[in-house]
Amino acid sequence: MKEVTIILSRDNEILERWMKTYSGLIFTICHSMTGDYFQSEDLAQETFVSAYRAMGSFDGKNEKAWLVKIATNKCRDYLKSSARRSVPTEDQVFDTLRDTAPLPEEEAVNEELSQRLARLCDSLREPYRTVATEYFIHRKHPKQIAQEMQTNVKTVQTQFYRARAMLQKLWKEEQL
Amino acid sequence: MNHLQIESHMTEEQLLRMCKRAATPEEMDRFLEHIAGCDRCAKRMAEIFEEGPMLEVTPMFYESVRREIEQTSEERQIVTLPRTVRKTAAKQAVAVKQEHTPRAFRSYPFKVVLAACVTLVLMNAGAFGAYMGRPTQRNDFLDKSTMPLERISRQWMDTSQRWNDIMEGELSI
Repeated sequence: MKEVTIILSRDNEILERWMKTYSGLIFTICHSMTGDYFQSEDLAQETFVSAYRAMGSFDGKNEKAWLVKIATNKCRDYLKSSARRSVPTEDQVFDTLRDTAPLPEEEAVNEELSQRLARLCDSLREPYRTVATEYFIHRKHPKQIAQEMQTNVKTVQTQFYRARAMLQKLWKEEQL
Repeated sequence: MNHLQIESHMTEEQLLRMCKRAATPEEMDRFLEHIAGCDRCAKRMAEIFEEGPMLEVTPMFYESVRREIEQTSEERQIVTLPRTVRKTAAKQAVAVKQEHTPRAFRSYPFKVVLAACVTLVLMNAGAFGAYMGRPTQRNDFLDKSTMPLERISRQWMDTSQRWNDIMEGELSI
């Protein structure tokens, strides 16, 4: 059991390093492929979970490329399943064709993303609006939010998960 | 050139169109399928994204990943370990559970037996009499419910007595 503990400890260190180094890249790739902010976060998390589980099969040569390959697989599976769930409307087809035109700079796209997130957070009712804004826009951890709101951490976490679910639904509705 | 066609590796133009979401759904599927199996194109795709601004993950991202791994890792450990190690791990898990379980829960069977004994004592002492109604009402009910049985047994007794008397010559048929 001691040997297993040592192996697990080493694997955890590798995972922490991967997440610290590549989480932004993987998240950006997933968002670029799917266009869904919340879904892309889920896919990015699933990428690291799968990478951890498959660590034994990694040859150690190019970890960045390996993680990117896992992420693209996840995105591909998601796009296939969401394509099966919804038949694209005529507008969606034209939107796809319009995408071939020159796109704005990446900074403007990220700015647009932030504005859209802020708008969606603002559309929620309290206390979800405050929790969502503090978390997604101001990047505060639920523990910090709980301290500032002088409330229980568990309460804030519950509110956060509900807010996230509502935002995800609103995001999808806007996409359609 | 057919945009869906990929030679041994993706062209720069194909990669850029994919990264900028300028590809059709069919192209996207082909491109992603290729990248999922090609180190070189995956590496190049990462480089393209790294040239621009990248999104920042949310504060609970790392925790969510660790939580997901922890929830499933225990099961996987036990399944993938050798049998002897699994048995030891299972015994250790039971010992840890018992250590953390309050003594009260471990004496649950004793509590059940104790409760049953107390109930019997109370019943014999008549503590539940109030819930069974007034004694006269109870007796009436019992009397009425046993009447048919008594009648039948009386009839049998009378009949058997009569036959007995006949056999002994005291009564004529």
